[in-house]
Amino acid sequence: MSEAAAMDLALMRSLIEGKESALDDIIRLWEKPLFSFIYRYTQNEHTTQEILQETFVRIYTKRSTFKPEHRFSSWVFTIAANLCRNHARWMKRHPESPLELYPDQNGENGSNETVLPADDGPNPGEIATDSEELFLLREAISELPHEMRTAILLHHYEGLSYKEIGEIVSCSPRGVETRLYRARKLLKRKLEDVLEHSLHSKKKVSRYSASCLNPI
Amino acid sequence: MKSKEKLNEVLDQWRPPHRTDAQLTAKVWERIGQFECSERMVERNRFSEWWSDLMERPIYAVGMAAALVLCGFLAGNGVPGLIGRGDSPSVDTVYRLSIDPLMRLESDQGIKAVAASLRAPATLRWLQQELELDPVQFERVVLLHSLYESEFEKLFGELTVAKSKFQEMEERRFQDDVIDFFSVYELVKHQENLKKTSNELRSELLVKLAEVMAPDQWERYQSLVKPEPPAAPSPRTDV
Repeated sequence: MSEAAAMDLALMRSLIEGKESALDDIIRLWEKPLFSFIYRYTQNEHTTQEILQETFVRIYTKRSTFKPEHRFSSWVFTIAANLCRNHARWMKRHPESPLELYPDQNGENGSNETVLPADDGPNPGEIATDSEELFLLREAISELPHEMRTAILLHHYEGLSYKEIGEIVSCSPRGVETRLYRARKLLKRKLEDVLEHSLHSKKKVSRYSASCLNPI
Repeated sequence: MKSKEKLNEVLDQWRPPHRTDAQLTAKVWERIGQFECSERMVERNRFSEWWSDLMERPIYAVGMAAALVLCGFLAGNGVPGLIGRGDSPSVDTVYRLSIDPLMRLESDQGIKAVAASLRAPATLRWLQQELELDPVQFERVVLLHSLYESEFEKLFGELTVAKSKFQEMEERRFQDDVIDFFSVYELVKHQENLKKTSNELRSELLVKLAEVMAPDQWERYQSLVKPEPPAAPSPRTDV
């Protein structure tokens, strides 16, 4: 077990035993990785903040359900991924209404304080600074099904193993491998033109540079 | 192979705009406080619904007649007041109620019930985050609240009894048209004493809390415990 994983486990044990300041430490340690994952999943900063807060609330309220034999990272990302999926489902069903309440994975009501804007998605400033390929990538990722999206985000950005991702999306490591392969295939297809164009440009540049340099 | 590398390159370019939220911990504790309040509301509503269903069945109703006599007050006044209440009070309201028996007496049944059964940790954690109390300060704040908690509960109980006695007396007065001036005087005097004790006890706690806090924390604390102003009257529409 890595040092970070041991630290997470110790904090979680303290929280279960009633030492509530352990949650403050968990928030400090997990704010950034969770923000990154949730943001890349939802692609909206306000929504990310809401889901991030709700994730920590769930860590506290569901602390008794945590099993020490499981990795803390898997448990935390499972909570966050489920909240992201619930949010995406809600937005699909209510594209124009603000989100005030959305059911959690058990079908029970979630936080009644969750108020999110109706126009979910990246803000104009973010879009303006994106390159064309980044814009297409964001779009392609947002179109991926939940399990593929979760798998690729957790594998590529958070460095989680197939086994850990398997615990989060409820499938075997082999299943994760398949999902990752399919996700990459879909992304490549979506970005095909841009990737091709980029590769050609690189080739052209290198050929041009070579032709310019040869006479010298 | 090259397109795979290129895809990884594009994936690597995507960096989320992470800005650390200094208030995150406070917001999380506030939500936890609200969650605990709403959980208690739900538990109470579940009990109310179960009780109502049970009473609709004649066999149970007859069988529990004796229990009904004992629980008459609860079934007649307490429980229906909670049915249908979906909104939960905010953490700051619950905190104010927990240190002010008089405010609790005046607030509605649901909030009173929540405040009475709310365990301190989440509310005090919220307070710690709001005021940025260090661990030593927080320990003393928790200790002070635990010292006064039972006193506030006792006072709230006495105030409730006095209020219901007064209501009973009023009902009797309406029925018999007879006023027992001495009893009224005694009761009003007793209520005044209780209110005075409640105010003194609350002020005593605040003075001790002020000693624990730094001036800016104390200022923030005062703004938190300041009672909410009464709601503004709705504008006239018949003009």
